[in-house]
Amino acid sequence: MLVNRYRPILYLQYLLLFADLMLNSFTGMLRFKNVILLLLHILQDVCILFSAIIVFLLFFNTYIFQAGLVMILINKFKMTIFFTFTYFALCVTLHVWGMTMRWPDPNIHITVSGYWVLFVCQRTASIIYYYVYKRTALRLGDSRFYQDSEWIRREFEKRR
Amino acid sequence: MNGTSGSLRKLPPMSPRRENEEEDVYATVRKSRKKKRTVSDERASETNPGMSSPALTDTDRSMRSRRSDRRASRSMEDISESQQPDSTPQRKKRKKKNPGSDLSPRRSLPRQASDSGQTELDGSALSLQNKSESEVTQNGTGKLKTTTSKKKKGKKAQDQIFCYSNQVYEGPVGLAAELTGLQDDVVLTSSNGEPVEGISISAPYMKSTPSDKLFMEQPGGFTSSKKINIHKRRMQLATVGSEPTDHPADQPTQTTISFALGSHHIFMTLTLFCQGLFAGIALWHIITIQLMVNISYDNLLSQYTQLAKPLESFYYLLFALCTVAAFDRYDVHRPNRECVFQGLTMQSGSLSTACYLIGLARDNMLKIWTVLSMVRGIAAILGWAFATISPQVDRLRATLENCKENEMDEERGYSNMAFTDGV
Repeated sequence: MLVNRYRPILYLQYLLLFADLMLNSFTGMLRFKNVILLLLHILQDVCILFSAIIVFLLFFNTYIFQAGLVMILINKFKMTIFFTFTYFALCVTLHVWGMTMRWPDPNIHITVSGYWVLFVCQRTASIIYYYVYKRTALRLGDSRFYQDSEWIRREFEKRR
Repeated sequence: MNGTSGSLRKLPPMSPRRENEEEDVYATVRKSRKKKRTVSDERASETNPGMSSPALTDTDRSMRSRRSDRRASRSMEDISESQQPDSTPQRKKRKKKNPGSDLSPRRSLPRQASDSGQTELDGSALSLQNKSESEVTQNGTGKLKTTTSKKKKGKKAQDQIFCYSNQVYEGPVGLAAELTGLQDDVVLTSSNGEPVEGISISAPYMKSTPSDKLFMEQPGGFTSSKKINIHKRRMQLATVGSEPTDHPADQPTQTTISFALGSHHIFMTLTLFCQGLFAGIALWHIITIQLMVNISYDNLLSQYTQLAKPLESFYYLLFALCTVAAFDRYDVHRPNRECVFQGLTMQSGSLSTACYLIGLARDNMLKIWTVLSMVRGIAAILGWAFATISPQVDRLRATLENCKENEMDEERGYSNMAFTDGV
């Protein structure tokens, strides 16, 4: 894959990751109106979805995928796929629950313990998600994914 | 070569057998026409002395349509013939020798009129040919000889319909036939490799001549430059030794993996700074909490709550960056059990970050919260300390660089284990 194509993709992925991190960090501070809070939550979920789409598009671009060896790619990046969707699910759940509870007054302190457990899980998952996603984004710059090679042919023969 | 001669557009032979069939058909027709020829010739001589029998010429033409050189010679003879007033018998003789003699006037006609093979088949097309031929005779040049009466044309049409009855001709007529025929004309050549005469109307207008300009395709179109100038420029650049800017192929291309490594290096530099900052803030936090606790819990709560929210946010931000950097540094994805402790110390901080808010509102939880904050602060400082012990450790970078090396190894036939394992 040409650098000219890879460069904006990587920049976009970094941007989406950074936006998600910022939103995670500062949404707790920006509780002015419930509508604004809702908008920020939606923005964060959309960012996660976009980054998932970009990763899958990168997968589809690889020679391995186009050759039909889909399972190889999925096995290599199963952590990424798993954590992306897990993190997305956690985020959506947390946002929905939080908004339901905070809609009358965004500044109230939530007393339900379950919410905080979920909060802890979401924060932990976010760290792992950032790490795994960044690693995947960098690894997909490996040109061996996009070229025919001895290794790919051997895998093909194995699966025939 | 066989389909392009004269007004009678012969179909390219589909198979040798078919050609023979054609010839047989024409042979029979020719025999039957011999009787008609004399009559038609007489009529022709009556109407116009410079005319030749169309029936005869058509069949003969079809027989010899493939011999382009003979046709050429015939055309010359036709021209010479037409210049002399010929008696009918002489003309007949000449026509026997050069049966395709009528080809030349047809050929010299504008292409629209002359090369449509179906003009004989179609009545409307016939009239077209008649017109063209009448024009030909009116021009009065040496090449032009023939005009035929419509009656004869009609007869000829019938004959040709008869002789083409074995063939299946499906296609456009008139001008459309002309234009469709042009494709075949461009492709076909004679057996000796010479381009067929009259092969394309565009041939005389589109001759390719070598010029001294070199055309280069740019995104916006083609640009031309003289070859001499290009050569001079190359020589200059070779002596100067600078990179030629007009040869993109010579520029070193940055691979995707090198770009990825560059971005990762920038990230590691940033996070190194963040780790230091995080450790500093954690230390300040520990000290402040301890001081306030020593005074009283109420004091702590009243003065600290103002800072709580932004601090928490900032804490989390730095914590996330540092943890990811720690993971990258020690490549947790492929645990090697060497320095996983580093990542763990950072990781423990995440839980305490989360518990921050829980402890904030509850008195009985304040102690837990204080303890957790201390733990978190110490973990941050320790993590930073471990990073500074070996700041050049970067396993992710090593993994990414491994990709490049393995490329070369592959070429040499080595197996690339780093690429093939599950991660």
